[in-house]
Amino acid sequence: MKLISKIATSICFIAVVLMAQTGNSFAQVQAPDPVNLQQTIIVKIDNLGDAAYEFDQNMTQAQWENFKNSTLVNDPSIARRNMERSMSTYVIEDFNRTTDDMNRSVKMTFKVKAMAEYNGNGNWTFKLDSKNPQVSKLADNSYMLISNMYMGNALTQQTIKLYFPDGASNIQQTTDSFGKALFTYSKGGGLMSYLSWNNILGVLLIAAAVFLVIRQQKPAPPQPKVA
Amino acid sequence: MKKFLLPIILAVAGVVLFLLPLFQSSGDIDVKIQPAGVIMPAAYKVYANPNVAGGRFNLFKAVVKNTGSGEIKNFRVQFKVPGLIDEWADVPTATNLLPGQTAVVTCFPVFPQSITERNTSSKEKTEIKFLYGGKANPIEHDESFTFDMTSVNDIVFTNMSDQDKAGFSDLAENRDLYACMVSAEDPIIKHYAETVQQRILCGESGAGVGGNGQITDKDLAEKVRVMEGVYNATLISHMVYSETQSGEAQFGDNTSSTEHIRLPREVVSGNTGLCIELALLHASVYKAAGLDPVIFLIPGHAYPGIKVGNQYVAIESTGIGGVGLGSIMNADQALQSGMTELKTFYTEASKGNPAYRLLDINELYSDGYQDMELKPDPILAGEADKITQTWPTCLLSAIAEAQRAAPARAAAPVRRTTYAPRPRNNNDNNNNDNKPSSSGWTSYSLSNVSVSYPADWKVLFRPVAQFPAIVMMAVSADRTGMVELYNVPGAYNPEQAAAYIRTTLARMGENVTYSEAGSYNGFTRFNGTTYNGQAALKWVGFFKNSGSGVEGVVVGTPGGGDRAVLNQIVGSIQ
Repeated sequence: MKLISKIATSICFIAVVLMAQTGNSFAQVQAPDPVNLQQTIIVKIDNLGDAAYEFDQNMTQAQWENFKNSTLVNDPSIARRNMERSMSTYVIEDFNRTTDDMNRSVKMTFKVKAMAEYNGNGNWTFKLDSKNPQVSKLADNSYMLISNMYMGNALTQQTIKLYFPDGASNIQQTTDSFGKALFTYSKGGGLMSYLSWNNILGVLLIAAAVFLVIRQQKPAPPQPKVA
Repeated sequence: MKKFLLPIILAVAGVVLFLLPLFQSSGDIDVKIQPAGVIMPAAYKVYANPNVAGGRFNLFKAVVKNTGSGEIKNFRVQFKVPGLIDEWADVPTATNLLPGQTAVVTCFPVFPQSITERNTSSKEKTEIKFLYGGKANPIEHDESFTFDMTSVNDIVFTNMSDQDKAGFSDLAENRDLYACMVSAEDPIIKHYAETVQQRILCGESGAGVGGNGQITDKDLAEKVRVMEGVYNATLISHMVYSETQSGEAQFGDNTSSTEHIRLPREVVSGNTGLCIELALLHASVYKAAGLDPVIFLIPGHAYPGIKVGNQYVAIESTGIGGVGLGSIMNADQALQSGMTELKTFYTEASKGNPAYRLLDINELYSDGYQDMELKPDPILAGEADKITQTWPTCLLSAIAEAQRAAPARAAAPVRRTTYAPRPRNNNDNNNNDNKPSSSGWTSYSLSNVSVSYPADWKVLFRPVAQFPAIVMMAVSADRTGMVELYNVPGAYNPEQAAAYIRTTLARMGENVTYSEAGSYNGFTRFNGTTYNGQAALKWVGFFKNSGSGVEGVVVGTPGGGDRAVLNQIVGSIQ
């Protein structure tokens, strides 16, 4: 899963729209003062490697006005379509977006299938597709990544909170062959992962049969003699 | 025995249930495939790169879900495209799938370089194998689909399904693929660029940047000189603007505009190009010369430019003209036109108008859009060489030499004879007033052409020093009539001579349009108009081959000329 860059690029249309409204989106013009944007992304990975995303962005009054004036951004179906196309290697479901006029914020939620890959034996891989991200541990199964980037001409700070599934263990940050960061973790696996309901029910039936045989083979208690 | 019946039944059922998974598949999969509707060979390197455009350029995306009760192990996906990728190739994917888990498998095929040799469109087939299970019980799930493959020259402007399209950007989302057709590494273009540097620019240092990375005025001027040199190369080659095929086609659920683009090597060898084709040629040569090329796309048009620091310089590459365009610009005019268009571009682009798109070629390359690897083509290379061999050894030296030689040539001996006007046939001149022309006429002859004109007309020999092909010009006292004699040594035929004259005059700021109008007395006749920015001169020209080139006569008037006299002049041409 190319969490950081993919989501960042996918979501950057908001920043791009904001920049377009400032009239400075074209590169040959001298770079204007950066317009700061704050974005928060929460990623929760479930037991099957799918991820639920929550994206929040607060804006200044000027940014909010520009944002509201954009028909593109105000059309959630276009937003969903653009996100799907910019993340063509993923499957996005349950896309939803809400805006909060009072707090000048936009919130998007969606699910992305197969963000983490299962390698068998309870071992999972979660790719970040970025080199040397600033990662800090929040709790046993949660981490925070902070990145600053220019989207259009806007200096954007992204705070990404990453939650691994409950019960995930041995979470480690490492790199792949190309030096890109990834997380590995363990979830499931072990003996229980080899047992299906067939196996368990079969064992229970065999156990019941054995129990019955043992019970029936027990000698009957001696009968009291009648005088 | 009867008392053991129930335990036996339970035990057998238990064993069967326990061992059942061994006899079952390790899982069942549900597969949904999203195939590419069309593949463009020009972008074959892009299809191999998952990082381009969010992975949008893929062969297929398969969404595979484990719908069984057991874990799928040893999961693999393989594909092949018979005729292009004949061996089964693996698609990277997760190796295991838990019950209910989904895998998204996206195929980025590595097509062979030979795909760029496809000159026609075709239907191709993709075969896919989904493999899983143990060695003892392997399971294979097969799928296949067909897709359209265009020729190497075709651009399909969108891959979006019709129901998803909303605006202009959606209809032209593949415009960045033009970058794949910028072919600075093409051996033919590399040779062409070197020849431009040698013969047109007479040596250059286009990539010059100040030692501290600052762009100096001198550096900028040198880069602009390279741009003008490329333009001049197309101009003196008599390259013309011409349309090419475009249309609309259906690819699955996507109806898209398509365009057949001649590659820069084909533009050079064919000596003609559409606006985008000329822009691609310019961009290719700029890149080969070490410049930072860009292409400006605007509604219905494209023109090239360069990026210098945070500035852009543009040139109107279609200024070389053509029948459809009607006029020719010299390099300065083309540059001026390009810069004028750039102002509009800035205005519209800053408004966010999606129809105005800047293609920064180097930036697109860094994003993964790569040029095609093109093999040497002796035929095209030969055609290109034929054209570049007509260029002077050094254009600058040739111009200087022509300027030095002009006075000497003016003094060259010419045959002058007196001429008695032939009897006029009044029936041929019903529209004329038959007023007597000047009493005396004189004639002027070149080796194979002669013409007569009123003796009182003012005669200028070699009137344009930098254009010695004009041997003589005679002008009436009221400047309403004129006759010119041309000698174009080295020209193969009248058409080439006329094109040469047009091109040369264009460099001097005069725009010439003309059309061939049949033959006359052994001459090829042309009707045309020359604009010099202030007035238009309508003329008729007669050219024919001489011993070492082409000679001809042009008779014209800016209006108000004595038609009887002019007709007599035409009648005297031999």
